[in-house]
Amino acid sequence: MHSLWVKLSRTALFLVSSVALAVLAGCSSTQTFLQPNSPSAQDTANLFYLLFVIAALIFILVEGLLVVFVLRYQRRAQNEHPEQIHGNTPLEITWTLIPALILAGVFALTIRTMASSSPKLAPTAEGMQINVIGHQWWWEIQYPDQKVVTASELHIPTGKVVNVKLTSDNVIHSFWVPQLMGKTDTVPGHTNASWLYTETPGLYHGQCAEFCGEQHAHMLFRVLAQPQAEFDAWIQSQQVAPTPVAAGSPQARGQEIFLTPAKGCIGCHTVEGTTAKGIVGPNLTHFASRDCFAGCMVEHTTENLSRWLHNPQAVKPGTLMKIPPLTDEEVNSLIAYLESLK
Amino acid sequence: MATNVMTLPRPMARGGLWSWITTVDHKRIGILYLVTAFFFFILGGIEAILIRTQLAVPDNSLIAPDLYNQFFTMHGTTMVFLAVMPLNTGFGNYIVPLMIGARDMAFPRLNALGYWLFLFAGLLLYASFFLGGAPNAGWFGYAPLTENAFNPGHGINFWILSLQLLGISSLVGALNFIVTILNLRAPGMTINRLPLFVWGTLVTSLLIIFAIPSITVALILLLFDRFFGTNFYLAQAQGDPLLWQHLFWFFGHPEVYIMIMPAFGIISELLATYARRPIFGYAAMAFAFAGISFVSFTVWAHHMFAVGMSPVADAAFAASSFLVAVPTGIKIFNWLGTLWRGSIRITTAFLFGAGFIGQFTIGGLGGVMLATVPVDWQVTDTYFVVGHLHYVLFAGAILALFGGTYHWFPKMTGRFLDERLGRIHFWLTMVGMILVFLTMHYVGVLGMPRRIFTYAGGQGWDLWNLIETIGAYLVALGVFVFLVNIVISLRTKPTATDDPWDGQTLEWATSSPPPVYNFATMIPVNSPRPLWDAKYGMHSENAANPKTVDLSGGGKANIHLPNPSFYPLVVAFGMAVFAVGVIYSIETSFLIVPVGVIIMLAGIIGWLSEPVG
Repeated sequence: MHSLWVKLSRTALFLVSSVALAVLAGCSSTQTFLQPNSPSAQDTANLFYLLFVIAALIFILVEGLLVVFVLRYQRRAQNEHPEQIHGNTPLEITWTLIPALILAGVFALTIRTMASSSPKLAPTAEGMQINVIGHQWWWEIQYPDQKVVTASELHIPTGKVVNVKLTSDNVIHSFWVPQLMGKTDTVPGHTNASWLYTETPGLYHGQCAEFCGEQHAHMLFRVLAQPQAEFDAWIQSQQVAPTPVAAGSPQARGQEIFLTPAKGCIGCHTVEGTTAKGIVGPNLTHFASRDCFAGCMVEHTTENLSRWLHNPQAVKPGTLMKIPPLTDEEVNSLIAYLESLK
Repeated sequence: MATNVMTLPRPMARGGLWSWITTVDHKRIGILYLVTAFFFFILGGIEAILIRTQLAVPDNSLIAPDLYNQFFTMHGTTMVFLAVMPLNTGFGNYIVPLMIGARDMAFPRLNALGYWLFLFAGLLLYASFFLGGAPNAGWFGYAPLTENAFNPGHGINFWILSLQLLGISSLVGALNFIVTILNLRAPGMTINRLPLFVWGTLVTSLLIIFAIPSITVALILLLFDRFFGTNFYLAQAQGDPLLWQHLFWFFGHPEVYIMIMPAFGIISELLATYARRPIFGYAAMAFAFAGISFVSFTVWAHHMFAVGMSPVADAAFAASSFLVAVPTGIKIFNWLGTLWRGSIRITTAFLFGAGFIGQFTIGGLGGVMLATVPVDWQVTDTYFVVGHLHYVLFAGAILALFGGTYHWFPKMTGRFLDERLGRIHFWLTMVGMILVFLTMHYVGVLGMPRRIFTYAGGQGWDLWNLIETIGAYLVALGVFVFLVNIVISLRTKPTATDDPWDGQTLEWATSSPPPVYNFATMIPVNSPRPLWDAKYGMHSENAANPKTVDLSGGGKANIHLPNPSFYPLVVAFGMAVFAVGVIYSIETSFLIVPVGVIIMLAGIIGWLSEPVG
């Protein structure tokens, strides 16, 4: 019995200290609502901490009683016949009512926090409007009023409510940027609404949170919150046409390849001001201004671009980008052209 | 006796493979269910180990994404439909007739049909791996990802047909249990004297009757979309993907209670037996079973808080989800009350039962967090949910099933499982399970979504994923120890008496294993603990000098038994052929379908007209 006690208390100590360490170590992650940067995420985090404390207390009570009973009431003699207790009505009523009351309280807090944190209950419908469309496996972002279309990167001004319209024309995805807002699905045939608001400029990571097929794991996006002036400057840079390519330059060679129908690019991609008007894939008009691509799976570097253009399937198996093989010269020229699309 | 040239005489073999193929004896069918389900549990476990190995380190390329998606789909489908449910049915089949003092189930051949359907459905599902790829859209199969446009090929079709066969198997079993429990109880065993494992099986069967039709419809609509060009779930033609979700989860939530209620029953049996006490608060426990079952039908859309339902709908489903926690909590406290001032004998079976109490509490508390809608908006579809579901299903149902195995193994085989190996199994399982599944709650809160085949490093998830993988390997090691224990123990001498654990219910009043007819005579039933009362008296009058009770009749009794039959296997086989015919209907112009129907009809005609024997 002593060794059982030692085993049990060692296990308990291990559990308690691991959990405490983990919590105390500071929940460091780039994608957690426990590092909130919006009122919605903050209210949710506060509610979560409260629930955690209640849950921990209940668990300690139950597990504590369990351990004490198992240690204390072990059979002392082979024919020990304990008192045959069938129940205790007052006790049973008590332990029905008290949890019910606690749960009623949690329900009340749930309703209150829903009111302040719900994606469906934006504080105003008059905020800046953006449309987010889920594709397999990348996010399209449109600014209808500013006539800007981009992919993978969502810029918002700080201190302003941004109303987000969520749709999908293929399978169900889910729009989730934990530090700013809980997740809302994009469901074909439905238009869902969410909203974003933060006072803190910075980079916030988001990820699709509804299984959507082969590359669900690599359907990421980034939210860049910027002070109003910087945001306005970004919008303006996205509204101007890219600089025309100089004749005879590598960029021109790249554009020539890009616009060749047989290469497949213009079937899916748009570059404003050219014959590329495909809408199946991301809008590349200002591709060079983005920090990530391929559904924000890879950083925007020359090396990554080269790997991607040589063989998209090798980088992201199952991707819907299927192109004929390209020579090194073609890839380098295309990269030069894409880097000119600032 | 009139002879009919169309029928064959009843098979009469007592031993050998043929006797197992034609058995209608609930004890043999129970063992068939348990062994087959355990085999599928191992397959599901291998899938889990592959998944955890792929996720052990970031950006891993051990398993390609589509294959990974097949593995997690098959892992979920296997564990839910081919492991936990049939393990529950196996114990139910073996133990329930014994606990109520019956000779067999009400419909012995129907019982066999349920087993053969389960086996064929499982084989059909796993054949998909070799026939173009297993289903890869998750165990929950959300439309429109399961539609032809996004999922051509046969994987999803195997999934649909296999689940339909399993649905029929479950329904047939449930009907059998309900009729058996309501009609075949020993004299004196009124409904309020049912042992709690029988209560658990009864409510589970009622849940099955009302829940399975919903997934049956959902799957039929999907089948029609895939084969006949309908648009039930396709938005382009005014269908709605959310229709699938509502139909699926209306089944899916009661389904998780279908998986846990028998486990609740097992835990009650374990704790009462090893503490030498009646279950504390029997009436409340029975009412809690009924209450949980009823409320479980009102919570389904808590799986859909993120789809864009109205705030009123969100609030309503949150309320019902909180409500279901109340009767569940009652059970936890009553189990503690059973141990309080008891006389506990610590066996491996008891350890699993006691371990369940604390661990299931964690699972339930996680559930309350998920019912809290704003928290759910952050943690749903993350590893928090994966941790929660594995807590209630593994640290819940599977712990109970392990405990039940150690408890009833002597009854079924006459031999004991080795206690030392049992302790090792128990501790490996506890430590491993906590490492895997408790950690998942944390990494989910850190933002790791679920159903992803890999993740980028440096997001704060790397160490925890590695810890989880180590935990998974410990659990697997524990299962291996368990398997070794079974193999070794089956080779020992049979030393188990009728009643090695000082049991309270009727299965311990006959030999280990019981004679084929179960009981030669019966004792009066005046409480949920008829054997205990017979040994010690209704008010512990004979506590110092307990009586011995043996109703086995020494292995000889003049009792007419249901005769073996192979028609259940024929009917099940016909249905499986029908299913294959549907899957390959386009390639074979529907020609295999009538072959399956004919085999099925031949089996049914034979079944109806075979002589009593």
